[in-house]
Amino acid sequence: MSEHRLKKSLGRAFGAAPSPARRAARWLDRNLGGSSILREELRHIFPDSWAFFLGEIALYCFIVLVVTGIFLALFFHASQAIVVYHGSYHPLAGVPMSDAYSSVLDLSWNVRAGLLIRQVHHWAALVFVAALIIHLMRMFFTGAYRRPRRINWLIGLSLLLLVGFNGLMGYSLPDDLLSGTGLRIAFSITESIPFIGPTMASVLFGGEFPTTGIIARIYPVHIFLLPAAIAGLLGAHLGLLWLQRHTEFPGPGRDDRTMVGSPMVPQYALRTTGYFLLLAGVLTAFGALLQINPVWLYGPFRATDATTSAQPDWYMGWLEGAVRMFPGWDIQIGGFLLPAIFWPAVVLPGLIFTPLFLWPWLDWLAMRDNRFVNVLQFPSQRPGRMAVGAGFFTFLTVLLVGGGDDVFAKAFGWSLPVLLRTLQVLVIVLPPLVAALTYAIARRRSVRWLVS
Amino acid sequence: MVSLWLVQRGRGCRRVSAAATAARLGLCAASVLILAAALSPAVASASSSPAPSASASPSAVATPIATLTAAPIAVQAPVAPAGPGADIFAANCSGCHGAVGQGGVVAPSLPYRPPPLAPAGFASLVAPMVRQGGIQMPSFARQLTDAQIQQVAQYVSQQIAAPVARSANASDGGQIFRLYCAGCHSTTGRGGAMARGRNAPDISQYPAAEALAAMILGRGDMPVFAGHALDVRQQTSVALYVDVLVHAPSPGGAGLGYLGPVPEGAVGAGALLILIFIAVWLAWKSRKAVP
Amino acid sequence: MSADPRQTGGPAGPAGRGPRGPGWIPTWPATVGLLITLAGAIGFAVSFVRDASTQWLGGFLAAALLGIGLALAYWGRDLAGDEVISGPYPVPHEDAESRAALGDALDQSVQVITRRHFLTKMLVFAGGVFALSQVVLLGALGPRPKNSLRTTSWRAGSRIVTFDGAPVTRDTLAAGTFLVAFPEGHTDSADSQITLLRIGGDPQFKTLAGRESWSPEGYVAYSRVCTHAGCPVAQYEDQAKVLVCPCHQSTFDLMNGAQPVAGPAGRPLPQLPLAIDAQGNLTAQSDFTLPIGPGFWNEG
Repeated sequence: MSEHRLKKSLGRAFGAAPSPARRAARWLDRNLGGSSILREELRHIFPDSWAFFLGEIALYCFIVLVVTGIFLALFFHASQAIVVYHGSYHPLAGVPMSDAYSSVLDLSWNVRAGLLIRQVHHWAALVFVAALIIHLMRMFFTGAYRRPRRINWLIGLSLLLLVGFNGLMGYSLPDDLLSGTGLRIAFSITESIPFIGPTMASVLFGGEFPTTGIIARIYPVHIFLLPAAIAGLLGAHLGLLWLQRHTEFPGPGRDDRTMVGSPMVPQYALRTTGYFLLLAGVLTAFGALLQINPVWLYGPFRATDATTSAQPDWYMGWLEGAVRMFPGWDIQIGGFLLPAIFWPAVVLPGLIFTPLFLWPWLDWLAMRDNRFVNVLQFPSQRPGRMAVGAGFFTFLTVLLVGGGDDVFAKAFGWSLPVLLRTLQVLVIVLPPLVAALTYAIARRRSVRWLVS
Repeated sequence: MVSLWLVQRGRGCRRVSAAATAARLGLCAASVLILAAALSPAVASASSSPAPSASASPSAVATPIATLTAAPIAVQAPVAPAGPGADIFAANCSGCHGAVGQGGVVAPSLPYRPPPLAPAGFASLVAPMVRQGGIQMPSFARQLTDAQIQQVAQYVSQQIAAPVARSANASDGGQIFRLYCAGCHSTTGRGGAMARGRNAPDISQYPAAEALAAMILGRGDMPVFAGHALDVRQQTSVALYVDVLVHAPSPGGAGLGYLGPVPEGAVGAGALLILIFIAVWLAWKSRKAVP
Repeated sequence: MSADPRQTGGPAGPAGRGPRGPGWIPTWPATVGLLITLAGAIGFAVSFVRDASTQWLGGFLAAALLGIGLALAYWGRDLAGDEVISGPYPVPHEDAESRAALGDALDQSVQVITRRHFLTKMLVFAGGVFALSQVVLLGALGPRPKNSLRTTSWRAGSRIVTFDGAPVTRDTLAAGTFLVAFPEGHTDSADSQITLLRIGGDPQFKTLAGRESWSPEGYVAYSRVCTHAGCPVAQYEDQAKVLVCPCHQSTFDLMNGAQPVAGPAGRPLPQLPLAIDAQGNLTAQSDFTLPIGPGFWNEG
């Protein structure tokens, strides 16, 4: 080793010459202050479990969506002005279409990496909502919503609603036949609301469907309003998580007052950064190898065109299934009509989300347990909650399958009316069955090995 | 001279060389006899057909289709000296499709000419049909070599087809397809479940010319799209668009069945499972950690 | 305030260097990961410059991300040492005394306002009314529906045309097929689209009361906008004489006034009264007598 290097390392070892890290710390302290807090937080403890990565999947999907979304926003034209297409995709040559649709065709066929970024964006959106729901299920089944985390539960549920709605806005932007059909259905659902429905639909859409301003209206909501709201709530969500610390599963050395885990620096920071990049890599691989939402095959939206195998993105599938399965029970009250679609499309979502929002208080009503807790429960420790949750998610799953019933019928060669009838029976019969079965099993076995 | 009149009805004259005119006159005589024989029973049973030259619509050079079975189509007699394609046609195809492709009870007419601007042309529709066969049409892959198939495809598209379909193109076909066809067959042509238990088929698995036959003759639950529902040019356009769907481009990667958001959602669940698996791996070592 | 970190596992030293003790952990996975990243990054840049397909471009980019992700994840999981620390959860102040103290402090701070009862009430009232008054801004977003949901572009005498503007005459349709049709001059009118069929001559066809003159020469026209959720009812099944909506499979019986016989629709498709004029063109007698499309509150 040269003399110079020897002197430097000796100096660092004895504190005489500052290392790069020390220099950085000194700069921060002089320009920011609070080095004692920073020192503490360097060792912020994160309990270890694979189940705690689920929220991170959602968070990192959001980051991927924002980054890819910025790229897309530079090319998308949020206008329904009619243009005649003459781009590279010849089967649409000479077809009049909206500027929005045309810009998405250009993105997909003419902009370098445009199709890749578009597909990564869409795959990330699908995985985002899926991760949020799995994350919610984990919270639910392990009791993470109990005091002092009730408010964080409410914030998380609000995030789920905002994200789902933003996804709906997002895939409607290209103004293709599939998503435009979805907007038609959204208009019909809105106008089915008693008293205010027709006015609300007309005001929100800018007139009777189809309107020429709906894409331009959705655009700022999708790229700015909702992402800003999501980012804000996310900040609060993570801030509370930071201040209250993450919950942990029961184990040696762990209780409501003591937490055990990895320090943030270096272990956790390395792992979570690595996980973010792995997630981005998986999403990019999907965006490169698996085609999603080929809008050039769907054609531009026209109110006279329709396609079979028409579904919204998967996370709206439960709503689609409810709408398909609910019979046509219109109610005529004098000169007024309550259309049948009001019940599965407006009332049912309310019935689904209201108990979810109220759940921490419903839980208190059932258990009369008010303590501040930091230790989670294994799902089978609360057989009643596990049964209720299993039944609830079974109900949503049957609805989800119902939303794609014509695709399943075609893919597997089943008869569609038979499948529909079966699902209508299952949606009533299966949830209580699964709940009872879950209760029986949970009472007997502990599933702690699954989530340790 | 009936055939000449049929040729020039609604289309205007075409300038041809003297030799070609002579050839045409000679063949006219033959075609008159054949046409008279073919048309007479159809004429006897046909209900009234409007005179197409009076039609105001630019696309409706009418091909009066009065019934579903016999389809008397105005066809153009071959205009150039018949080549090897004509011999192949006469030996293999005319039995069902008629000597000049005018169609018959079991087979639709072949009155289509490739649009000059379309890159692939109608030959691209004929060759797969001959090679692979359709629902009611046998495959000729064993009787004919590839070169022979190309020759007969050329012959059909250049000699037999009528100029009425000259302006047919896939993008017009796509617009019609999305208006009339996608409701049952889906925009990607992969078919869909019908409400009474049967399914509209995946039309991408047949040669696109099969779509022409289905439009003209109907199929099972499928209604007929002929006459004034769709005219010859529109039918050809739809068939050319179906050809696009048969060879559907998938620049984004694997098509996942072209069935829309349902398989996409299922595959997205796969991505989530992969990520959960990675998380399990990542947390594996520290899961039983003791302070 | 964290406890002293204690190390677990074997000697975790500088992994991969020096003698391989019992706790030695290999570093090659991280190295491999970073090499993959190098290859991926270069491949991505080259693919972009050469305008390669999405698969190449994305494949290289994915490899680059996965490589560095693997390296960092492996580093954090295996190479950074099995350090496990414990520390306290923040204890909330939940005793009655501190809650009362907080309550007192809040009370004191707002005393200045709440002391003046009348002004406070005025503030709340005026503030509330102001907030409510802003709701009228919503009105700028779009018009009231007025009559738009109850009328279409059909008028008495509107000639019926196909999507390309060709007029429909008495000879246009045969049995066994159908047309999508519009009023002349409104071929892009979403709420005016109709399905035109020639099934009125069929012995099974039931003419509903008051509609005797609506199907001249067997022509029958129904609105094409589904009464369930508004999709075009695009599927026609000739054998069963039904129209089926591809969105949610509402099925309408064409022989019986387009009554819904299956699926989630509750109301029949409105029928358009037809006539044939002196030139033989198909026309409408009037607009639909019922609102088309999905139901709404003040339909009646």
